Amino acid sequence: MKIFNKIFKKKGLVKNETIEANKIIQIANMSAVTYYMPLLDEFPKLTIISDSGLLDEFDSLVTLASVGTIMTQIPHSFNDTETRKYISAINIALLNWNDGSPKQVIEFGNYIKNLTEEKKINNVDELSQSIGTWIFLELYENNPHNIEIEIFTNSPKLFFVLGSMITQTFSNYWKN
Amino acid sequence: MDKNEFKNYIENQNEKIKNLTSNDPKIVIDILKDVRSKLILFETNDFRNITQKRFFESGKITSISTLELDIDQLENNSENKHNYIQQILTLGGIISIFK
Repeated sequence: MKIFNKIFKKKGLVKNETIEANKIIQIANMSAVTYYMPLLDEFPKLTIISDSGLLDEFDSLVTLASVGTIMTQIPHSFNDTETRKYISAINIALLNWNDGSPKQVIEFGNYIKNLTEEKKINNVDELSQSIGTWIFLELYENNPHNIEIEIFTNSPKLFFVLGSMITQTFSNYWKN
Repeated sequence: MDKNEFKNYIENQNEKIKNLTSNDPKIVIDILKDVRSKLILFETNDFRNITQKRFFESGKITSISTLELDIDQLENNSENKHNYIQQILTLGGIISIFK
């Protein structure tokens, strides 16, 4: 893909969607890295994540939730053709970033969609709560042997704070 | 890592930031991860009591140069120290670099 990007960029043919998609992944990843320390200040027990060597996985889940949050806004910001282009470009960018990430973003999207359809998400606060919940449930599901992580699976305040970091950063992404 | 080592470390990070020839996000992410890895070690002694509110209101970084830490400020007191480190780790402003 990088080779394609180089070739097309040289010819001035790199599509805006591709550039935007790569930027989204990097911005989301960078933001994810910045979230952990403030969270740790608020929730000192989170040291379990770094102590257990799960920080990269945590960064990755936060990145995916952020990208997912951005993707959920695409249909409201673009017409159908543009929406398809952006979704496709972001999926390709995700695939290049991490093989399994497109699947995880779909799971994130379904999780949010189901809660919305069940009327459990009616405002940004509830969306924030749900985003944070997904991240910690995924972290635990991926590491069921780590019983210390389980204590975070019932921490509504933690979910809300982490989810709020994401929604405050990305809820108006396409308007900026 | 003691205070002097930390100071030297931050100076090295500053040099890396100053010498960036592009706004390659991957490089900045690596620097942020590195700073974070040191902060995690420092946290138990020096960086408690940062409130959620302060984090959300912390400084906005509008250009790559403002990522630079102010060593004098770091020297003055731990309050400034964590304000500046909060600034480096803050979310909103960094994003504007790449927009």
